[in-house]
This record gives sequence, C-alpha cells and structure tokens, in this order.
Amino acid sequence: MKRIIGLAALIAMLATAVMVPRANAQCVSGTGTDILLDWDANGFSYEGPNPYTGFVSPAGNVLTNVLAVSLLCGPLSGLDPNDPAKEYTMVWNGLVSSGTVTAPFGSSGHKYTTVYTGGTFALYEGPVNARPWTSADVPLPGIAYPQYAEGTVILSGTIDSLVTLVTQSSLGSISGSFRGQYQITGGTYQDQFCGGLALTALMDGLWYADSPPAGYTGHNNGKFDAPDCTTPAGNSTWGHIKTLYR
Amino acid sequence: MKRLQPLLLLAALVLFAAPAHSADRVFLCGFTGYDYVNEANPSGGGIPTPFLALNDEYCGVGFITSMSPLLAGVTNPADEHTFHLSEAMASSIYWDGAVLEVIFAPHARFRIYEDANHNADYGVDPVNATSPATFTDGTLILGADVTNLVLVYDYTVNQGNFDCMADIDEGSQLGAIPAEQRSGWVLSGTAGRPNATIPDGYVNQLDGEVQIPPATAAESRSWGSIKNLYR
Repeated sequence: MKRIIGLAALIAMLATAVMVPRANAQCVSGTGTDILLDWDANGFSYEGPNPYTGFVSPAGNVLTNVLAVSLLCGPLSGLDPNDPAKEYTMVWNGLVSSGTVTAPFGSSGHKYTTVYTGGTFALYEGPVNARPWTSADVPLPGIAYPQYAEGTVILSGTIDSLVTLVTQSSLGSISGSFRGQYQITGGTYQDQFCGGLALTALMDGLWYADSPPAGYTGHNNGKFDAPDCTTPAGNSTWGHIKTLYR
Repeated sequence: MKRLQPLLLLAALVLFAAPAHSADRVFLCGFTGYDYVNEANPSGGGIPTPFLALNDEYCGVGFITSMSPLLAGVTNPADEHTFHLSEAMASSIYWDGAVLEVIFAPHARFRIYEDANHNADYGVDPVNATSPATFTDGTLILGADVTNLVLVYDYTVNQGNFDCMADIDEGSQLGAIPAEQRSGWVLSGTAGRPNATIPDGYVNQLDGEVQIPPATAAESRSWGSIKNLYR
C-alpha cells in the first residue's frame, strides 16, 4: 500500500510539473513583478455622449475600450490567446473623463492630457469572432462591443486614474500613451491572484488617437502588469508576536 | 505671377508633406520591453532627471509579441523574437522641468531577431552581460533605418511616447516585405516610475508597434489614360 501511495504521489508530482505553465520569457521582467497580459494594436476606444474632437475629451464623457489579448502570463499562461476555438477579449467600461487639459511644449509641440476615473474591466473567454479585427475592419462600436463582451468572465475588476497623454511633437508627429491602475475583484481566475486580494497594479501602453477607425477615438496597444503579491515587512513588538502563538 | 504659381505649389507640397499618419497603415509587429540610455557624460548616480541629455544614445530591447501575416510564413513561431533599438543619438533637447522632448539625429537602427534559443534576459544596469547581447544573438530577420525619431515624456504623469519613420532595408526576411511597404512607422508608449516591472538601470517600460503602408493593388489602365497623366 505504501508503495502504491508513493507511486501515486510521484505520478501526481509529474502531472503537476507538466501542467504548470512554462514561464514565457516575454512575461518575465526579472524584478519579481511581471506582465500579466498584452495586446497588440487591436485595442479600440470610443467615448460619448459628446464628440471627441482634436484629441479633446469633454468632461463627463464616458470612455469604453475593447481589445483582443495576444499574450497571457502568470496564472493565465496556461491559456492560449491564439486558441483556434477560443478568444480572450477585454472591455473597459464607465471611465468618466475629467476633461482634457492642453498645454504647449518645445518649439511647437502640444500635449493633451485626460484623466478618466471610476471604470471597470472584464476579461472574457469566448468564441472566436472579435480577435481578427484590425483598424482596417473593426465594425462600429455598437456592432463590435457585444462580440468583445461575450463568454465567461475570467477576470474582472476596477480601473482608476487612467491617464491618456496625446502629443503632437515639434516635428508634427502625433503619438500618445496611457497609464492607469487596476484591481482584480472578480472572475473565475480571481483566486489565483494574491489569494484573491484586490491589489493595485499598473496598466500602460500606446494610445494612438490619430486617424482612428470609424466610430472610434483611437487604437491602443498595451499591457497589464501582474499584481505584486509580496507582503511588505511591518514593524511589530515581541509581545505582539508572542500573542500570535498563545 | 506664373513664376510664383509653381513656387507656391512647391511650398504647399512641402508644407503638407507631413508624415503619413493615416488609418490605412497596417500592422507589422507589436513589441514590449524596456529602454535605457548610454550617457555621453555618465552621471554615475542612477537615472538622472531628465533621463536624456544631448549626445546620449537612446536604446531599447524587448520582445516581439505578435507579427503581421506577412511574416507568419517565414518565421518560426516557436522561436524567440526580439528587438533592439540602437544608435539613436539625442541631437536636440527641450526640457522645462516637467516635459522632455528629444529629437534624435537620423539613422538610428531598429532590428528584429529570430532565435531558437530562448535566452533573452534583461538583467540589470544595461549594457550588461545579457543585454542587449541576448536580444541580438539570433538571426537578423528585419532591420530598419530610423529617421524623424522624437520622444516626448511628461514627468507630471510619468509617461510618454516615441515615434519615428523606419525604412526597412536589411534582414534575412526583407524579401517578405513588398518594396512599397518597407517604409513605415514605429510607435511606442512609455511608462516610467513608479513601476515595479522595470529592472534596475532601465528607464521606461515600452509597449508599441510597427506599422507599414498597405500594399498598393495593381489596376488595369489603357495606354491612352496613362499617356494623359503626362500631358
């Protein structure tokens, strides 16, 4: 019986070793905080109810973003973003614009900074229909959104303090970036992140607002970093530590 | 007046010959990584503010995260694909205490490598034993001459971006890119500190893409209509 238990334990260990996802080098920074997911050029933003013109978001507008994930890491690395039978898509909702602040810089540059707050996100595992869309063929938001927000929600949470920065450089070129914070608060994979604790993590990337697809305000290309689950050291007393063991 | 007309036309053409930032560009590849600076005058005390000064070399390394179908048939998806931005020399600096704008001299290089060894490792404090060496030790599949490189970084929000014109002119897979699609744009968002993902010695986290023009479809025309173009 002992031999059988030993054999079973060995098989279980081997099976676990096989199932643990390989750490993708693209995911690993070496700092202990790694990338969680990434998308390439196939994120599309839009907002309303007022028109977004000249890179200026009117205060009170609500931003939505839809995207198809191209890289999954960490606890999600066992999922294949190119699975022929499934796609992994994300939507951001309810990000309220504080209004765009414009300012000059350099010899003739201008920057357009917008802060959005109070949003949510959901990452879906669903049937393949939105993943192939690019800037050239993504349908209007009303048609596209339902296909991005379809399937099982594997992660969800809040997005706050999303800052978009669009710049027109002194050479005349337009580019941009975004940076924000998110917290995981739900989804079927929630418990695999810091034991279900909703820790704040970084999201950032390219925010390209020039010549967007029809119906959108721009396309984006970015990533979510994984939450840092390490527990910071805290000061305590010997007396307090002793009480933990009494 | 007649002499003025061509001059005005030429002036108008020059004025409107801005970079072709249009929606009709197509995706060549996406990338993620980190940037670093080879300082012309090393400060020796960590990353200075601003992080670039005149004559500094701006560099970036990282991974290609996805590729255009143009390259799908000629690259091995199981291999490691990396990029290296180098030889970008800061030739003009604007710094007002919050916003940094850097314009770079022409002829920087952006290169993409394919490597059966999955060995790319950022390490810390580049240049180091593994970076950029392990990002450039594969087969050079595409390389580009980079011009009009400009970087803008806003310290009030700890983020920025760079963009440039890239003329793809080298690499084992150069033939996979039609000649009319070899001039494109590299765009990247940058996120600085606080940012736990950035290895020591690197400056910003990068996330970007390379866009190229769409293929121009051939059209059937008569000799008469072609002759009319020159009359």
